[in-house]
Amino acid sequence: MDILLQQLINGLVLGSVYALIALGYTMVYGILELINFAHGEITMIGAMLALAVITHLAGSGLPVPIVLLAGLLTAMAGCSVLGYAIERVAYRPLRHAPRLAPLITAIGVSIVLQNLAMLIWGREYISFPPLLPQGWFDVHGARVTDVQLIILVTAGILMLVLDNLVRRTSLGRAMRATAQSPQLAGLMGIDANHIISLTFILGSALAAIGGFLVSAYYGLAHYYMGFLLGLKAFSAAVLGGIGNLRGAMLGGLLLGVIESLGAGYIGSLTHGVFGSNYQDVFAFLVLIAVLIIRPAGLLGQNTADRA
Amino acid sequence: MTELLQIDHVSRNFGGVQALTDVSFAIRQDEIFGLIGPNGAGKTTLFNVLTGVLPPSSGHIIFAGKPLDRQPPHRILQLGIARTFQNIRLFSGMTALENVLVGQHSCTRSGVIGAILRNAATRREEAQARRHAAELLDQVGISRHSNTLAANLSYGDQRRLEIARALASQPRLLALDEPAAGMNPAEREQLRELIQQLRAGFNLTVLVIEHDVKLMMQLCQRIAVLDFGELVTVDEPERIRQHPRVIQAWLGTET
Repeated sequence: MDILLQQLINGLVLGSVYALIALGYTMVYGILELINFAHGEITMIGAMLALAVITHLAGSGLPVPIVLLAGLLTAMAGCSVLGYAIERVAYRPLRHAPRLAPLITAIGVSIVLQNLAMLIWGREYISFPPLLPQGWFDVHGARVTDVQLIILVTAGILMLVLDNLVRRTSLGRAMRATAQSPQLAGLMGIDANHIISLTFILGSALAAIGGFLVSAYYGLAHYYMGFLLGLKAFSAAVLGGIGNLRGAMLGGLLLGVIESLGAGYIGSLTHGVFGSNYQDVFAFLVLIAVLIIRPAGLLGQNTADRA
Repeated sequence: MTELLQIDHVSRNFGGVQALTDVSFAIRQDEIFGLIGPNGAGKTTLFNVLTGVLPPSSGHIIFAGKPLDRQPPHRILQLGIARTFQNIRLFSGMTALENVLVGQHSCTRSGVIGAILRNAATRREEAQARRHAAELLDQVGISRHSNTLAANLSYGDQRRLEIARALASQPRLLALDEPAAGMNPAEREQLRELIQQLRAGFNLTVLVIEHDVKLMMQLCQRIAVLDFGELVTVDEPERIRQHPRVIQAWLGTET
């Protein structure tokens, strides 16, 4: 088995999920200059909702794709409502407050959501029902599972659609206009509050898909999973240049690959002193390095292009 | 002639500073109406109150028979008042064409679902919007720059782009805040012709702020004079020229 290729593939799969979640951070930052720390928890709620529906329907005799789709759509709908509600209740009243206030509120929202999830779904790991295809195929000595392929294709399509939406549609232009100046956008007939709500809804729906894919990949969900996942996706957004959509996509993929390669080689590089359980360290090493060398992120120089 | 816009006893103060004091006048349908006055006379404040950026401290604005009280800027634009800015405010990271397309936002219908799915209706609307935006750039004479980033346009072209963007929302009243600022005499003459062409071509009513009194005399049917936030007079250009307070206010400032 080719370890390099295998770790690259694993990294791309993981990274495409990071990218989906990172997009939510970067879209909200682009418009409000707010780091929505509750975004990781929205991802977790998405995974939990999807799993709840899928577990419930698993024994019902419905075809597997329908069951999975029902779980995914429920998660997307639930997270969209949740993202919208969080912005309305927690962030909008603080729109003109000092920047620290919404930031701390975001951390507060994330703690509330974590505890809410713990109350509803308990402290135990919840496992994904054994519905997913177990097949795999061989690519030059590396093994690609069906689930990995599904994740890559889904994430890829979503990123293309979003990129197209922001660059080529009326809604996307309204988002970019609002990102540059909500006041000026208002004078151009754009309801900035409407666009901000839509941004939260879109970002949260993507987070729900990300949460669903992660739980499918690892076969697990947990009320605390949003913390690390959110932190890594945030790192990915910063790595690519926060506020920049393509940056978030690139940052997510890169981070996934770095983490995966790191996990694969750290053992032999350090002669067994550090094992692959140190893989989470890489995301944050990368974050620190980027902040030192290139604080604006890889694609972050063009602030006017953000959205 | 019917009145399109009524400014009805509008005052606006900033803390203790009285920027507008009990200003009342009306703009008639189809006219080019000028607003002159020295720096700090309250002209731009009046524009900001008119377009919903600032609420009036007291008084009302009635547009096409409807009061605009406390309407947010995007609603006022949808009702048919579009403006340009004294200090140019374009979306600098977007192309000239995209800036006009943003101006058209209030006229597009396709929502989120359409934007995600990019179905036939959405694509048709987008294509139509692009054609219309290209026409507007052509009308103001900068069609060759449609794919240039707004930030890279020359100063005069940026002013023209602002006018095209304002026209994109299909306004009934076009409010121009110092459109000739920074232009040389030849460019000013072209601008005057452009404004008159657009007024006729788009059935517009135009409200324009300018310091260039000579330009205003040629351009406007009627002119209002503001000084220290108060309305001095509203009259035809010939009579404005002879008004004692106008002569007094411009002595030493107008060469």
